Amino acid sequence: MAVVGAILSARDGILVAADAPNEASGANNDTIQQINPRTACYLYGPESRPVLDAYLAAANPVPVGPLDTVQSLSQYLAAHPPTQRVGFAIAGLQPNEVNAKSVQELVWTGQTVNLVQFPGNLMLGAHSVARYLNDRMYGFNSSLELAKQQAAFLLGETRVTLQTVRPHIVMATIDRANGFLWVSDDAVSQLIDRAYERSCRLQLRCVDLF
Amino acid sequence: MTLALALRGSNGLVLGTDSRVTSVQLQPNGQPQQVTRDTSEKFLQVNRDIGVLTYGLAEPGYSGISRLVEQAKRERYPSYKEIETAAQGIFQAEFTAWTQAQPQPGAAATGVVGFILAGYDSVLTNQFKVTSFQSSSTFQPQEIINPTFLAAQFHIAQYLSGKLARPEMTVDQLTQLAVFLMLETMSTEITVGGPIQLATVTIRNGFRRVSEEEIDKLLEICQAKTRAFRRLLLELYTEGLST
Repeated sequence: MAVVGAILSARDGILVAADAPNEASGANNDTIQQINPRTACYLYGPESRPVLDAYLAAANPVPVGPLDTVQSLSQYLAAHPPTQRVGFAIAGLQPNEVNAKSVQELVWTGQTVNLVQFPGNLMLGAHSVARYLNDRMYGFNSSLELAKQQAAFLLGETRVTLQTVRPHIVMATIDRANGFLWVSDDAVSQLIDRAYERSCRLQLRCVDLF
Repeated sequence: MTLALALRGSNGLVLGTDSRVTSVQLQPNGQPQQVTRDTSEKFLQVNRDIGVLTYGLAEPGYSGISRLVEQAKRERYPSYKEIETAAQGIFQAEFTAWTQAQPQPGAAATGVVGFILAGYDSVLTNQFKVTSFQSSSTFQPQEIINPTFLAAQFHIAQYLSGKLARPEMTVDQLTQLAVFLMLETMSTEITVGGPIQLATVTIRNGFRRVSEEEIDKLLEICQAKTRAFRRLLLELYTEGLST
């Protein structure tokens, strides 16, 4: 089984998407978790979830924004070193700061906490194809609606190459007006259909290239 | 890592690799650092109609293909099948010798090295053949029947070949496609890079290495193809903007 995900920054928010089994729906998925009303966490591997759950149970109060979350989780990992390598990609909007988006990767290597800040877009997991396409197609200034279409296309095209990528997609958006929201199953289904249509169109247009 | 490919067309084969070797060295502060060199020779000609290429671990890879070439010259194997059989034993022996020479043989044995033997079988089947050997399957020969075989850092190239390759393509078209796949992979994966090594196999000319001058011309042709492909991707994106 391969897992692939994408965090895309848009001018009006952040989108987090990951592949999922067919029965996954919204919060009922194994990769993306809501941390607080403005922050999402992409989990690197199943062993990361119990660590995050233990952190959230211990955190008092739960941090309100992504920067606070990263700082607090980093301290938690240093104080309670996990027995296995775990990783988290944390994305969200800073409260009280207009347009302050944050995308950071936090990995416990077994010895230390590594923290990397990303400019806004981050491809996750088995990401070669998604990264290749996104670098050529997507900026930081599109709308969240377009980011949803883009994420569905990236994950769908990765699955064309890596057939172990799971067939469904879960998505969540974080914007200033609504905070963290799961994208509905109906909307995701339409996005997957649309991504497939774009993929076929690309294939058709490539016929005369060589 | 490497990108290694074998493409089958209507009139022959195209084989290719990059020339980058990636290793990990310890810095004075004890931190590991990835170091790359673009000097690796990853494929050799075995006889008039057959070539062999390697990917993965550089050392057992190169010694494996060199020894196969020497042995094939010495033994004058008459058919593709006999070279294939000899190759399995040689690759396994070289890999075992390499792992035993490492400080931690158990860990070294989990390393990945692979080989692609490809050429025209003019004795038994009169067909173009591609065979894969991988350390993970004790170098058991696996005949490749798909028109496209890509190994090691293959994801981007496989995605693109799925869009661009067609079984009726000629060797000339496939050499362009091979360069395009290499360039696009190199633009994203830092472990693939350096001069492109290419060869063709046709009935008329047998195994023939594509010269540096020819590769330079192919690179120029591919600049236009790269631009055209990026334009297609951007068109798709902007169609999303307008709906």
